[in-house]
Amino acid sequence: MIFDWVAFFEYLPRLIRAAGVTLQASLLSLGLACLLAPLLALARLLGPKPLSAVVQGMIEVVRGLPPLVIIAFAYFALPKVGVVLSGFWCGVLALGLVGAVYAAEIIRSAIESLGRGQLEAALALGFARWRAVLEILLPQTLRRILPPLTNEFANLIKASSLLSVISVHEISQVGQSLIFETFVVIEILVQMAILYLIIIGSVTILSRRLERGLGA
Amino acid sequence: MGQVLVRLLPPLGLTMILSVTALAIATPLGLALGALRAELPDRHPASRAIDAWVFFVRGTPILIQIFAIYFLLPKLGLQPPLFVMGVGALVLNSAGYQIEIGRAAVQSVPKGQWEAALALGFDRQASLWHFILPQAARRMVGPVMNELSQLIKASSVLSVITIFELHKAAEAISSANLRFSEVILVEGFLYFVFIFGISLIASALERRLSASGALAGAGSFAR
Amino acid sequence: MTLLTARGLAKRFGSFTALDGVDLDLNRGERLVICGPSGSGKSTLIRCINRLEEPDAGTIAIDGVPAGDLQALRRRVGMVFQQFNLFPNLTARENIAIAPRKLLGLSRAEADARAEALLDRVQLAGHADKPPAALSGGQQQRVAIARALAMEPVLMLFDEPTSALDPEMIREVLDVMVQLGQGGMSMIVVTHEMGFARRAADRIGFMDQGRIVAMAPPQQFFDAPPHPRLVRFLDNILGH
Repeated sequence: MIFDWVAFFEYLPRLIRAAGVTLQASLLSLGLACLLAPLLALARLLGPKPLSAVVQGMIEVVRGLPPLVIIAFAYFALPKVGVVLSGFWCGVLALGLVGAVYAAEIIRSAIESLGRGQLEAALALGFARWRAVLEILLPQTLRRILPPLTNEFANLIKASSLLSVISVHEISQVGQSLIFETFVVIEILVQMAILYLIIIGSVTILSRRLERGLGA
Repeated sequence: MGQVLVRLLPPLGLTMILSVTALAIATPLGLALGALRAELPDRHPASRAIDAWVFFVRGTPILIQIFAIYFLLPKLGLQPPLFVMGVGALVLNSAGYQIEIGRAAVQSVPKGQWEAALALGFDRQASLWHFILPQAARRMVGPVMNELSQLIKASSVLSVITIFELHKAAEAISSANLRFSEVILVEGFLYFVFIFGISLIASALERRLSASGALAGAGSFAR
Repeated sequence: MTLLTARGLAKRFGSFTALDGVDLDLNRGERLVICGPSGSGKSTLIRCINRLEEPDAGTIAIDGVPAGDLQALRRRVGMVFQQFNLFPNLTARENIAIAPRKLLGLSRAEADARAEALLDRVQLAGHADKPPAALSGGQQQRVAIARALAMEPVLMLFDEPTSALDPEMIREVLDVMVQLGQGGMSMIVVTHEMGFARRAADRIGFMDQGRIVAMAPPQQFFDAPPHPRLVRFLDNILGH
């Protein structure tokens, strides 16, 4: 097993381009998750019983499925209901949904962990329930939820590797097909691992900075 | 649909066997290495090796770890059966996470327990073995149950190296009968029943053990 | 007759001096109570004696023999903690029996018999199969005393053994300690229980800022306090 630097640099540009796709998919699904998550969390906490129950059911279902199954479902089922999207956008939708569900659970449990005292104090001052949650409870949880949320972002990046099964040309798909094309195994695997470590490592470092900055 | 369900039951069995086997290996490994890591200074070579393992596993998708086993073992002249490779990949991954769980569990045992054992005349190693590890193992029950759900979900990725677990079998059936959505629904139903069931058992166990300082298992979605 | 000889014990935590060169002698069968304000170094002193804290300087000898092997020292010196520190996963009997079984090589039957006898001695016969969580604080502390006694130590150390207890349970623990002392056990007790000190101690030492600044038999200690800071301490603690 000798490391072939020539092969390493020959295939590097293609994998770096693929890393761009990984980043795009991760950031877009992160954006979607950030939009959806607070809505899901608030619907569970404040929504009328039926809505809260439906949202909770949805959260449990998504948490009880491998992301791969959700991605495959989005890819095969969306066209059936007339939504025709590219593999990339199907993947972004699926990952965004999964990310939103896990983030919603983080937000909900952070708010619930504040205990009844904070809510009751706000209600006693005359805040309506939804304003108490939005204006009193939510701001208190921000510093506590940021570390687990950035951790979930790292998970989102890892999960984007699963988009390779629906032919999105991100790191894993490109690396895999290069291996089968060229039989250059070690050099390409090392590149894939390094690219992920760089992307995920920088998110992790960023998250530690945030934690320290917020004194959490 | 009923027919699909019946045909998916044996692969579901394989999914469970893969996950449970990996858990049975990775949990003691994680606790042992986590305890070792908690005891050793940061600069010790063994600490560095354990940290590197954790860093690699947490910093790359499980897909890459599966590829690493699948492509690299043959390069080293090893050609184990696919099942062994699958379990190996899951263990590589799960132990990487459970090392952190084990370390946290060992460190969460109150300092007074160490002192009581030491004051009786046990040396550090014997204190760890007789008193700290049993208590740490109890604290791991919640996280380990949670880890089983993670492994069941993660085992679906073994489909990429043609292990015919639940997801691969569903893929094969649907590309033969072209009823993709229906097959995925049945597959999803099977995954959900097991994973949701495990999460119910886990939270019941955690409630029972929370008095003794059990750690809570935190769910997370991908590896 | 001297059981324990400590010379020049010193211990610093960062910039804080917990022990500032303490000398201490204890005779066989003697009961010594150590008191003093919090942060005065009382706990550090007895934790240095069985080397749960490693002193920065100083020597410790038992029976004139310098304490060498750590485990051998600790097997001869029993320790009772403020927070009991019973093993929560073991029953009362197992808590007591495990060290003699694993460290002294007793058979399970022998160790269990020793545990039962000790439970009887601390008035807890019939509680052998309970886990610590099923026992009150006072009962847990008595099991902890029995656990230390099971190693048949030549010296018992008590680190504020009643500070974590509800008032109604303090008595039952102190009674066991008084009995133990009457039975001839050598003891060093860090405590604020001045009633116990008056009743059971041969000598009382007062620590302040890492030194033993006064040491006297109970009568003299309370009636003619030999140090001005001790006078203030007694005023505070006894509410004069």
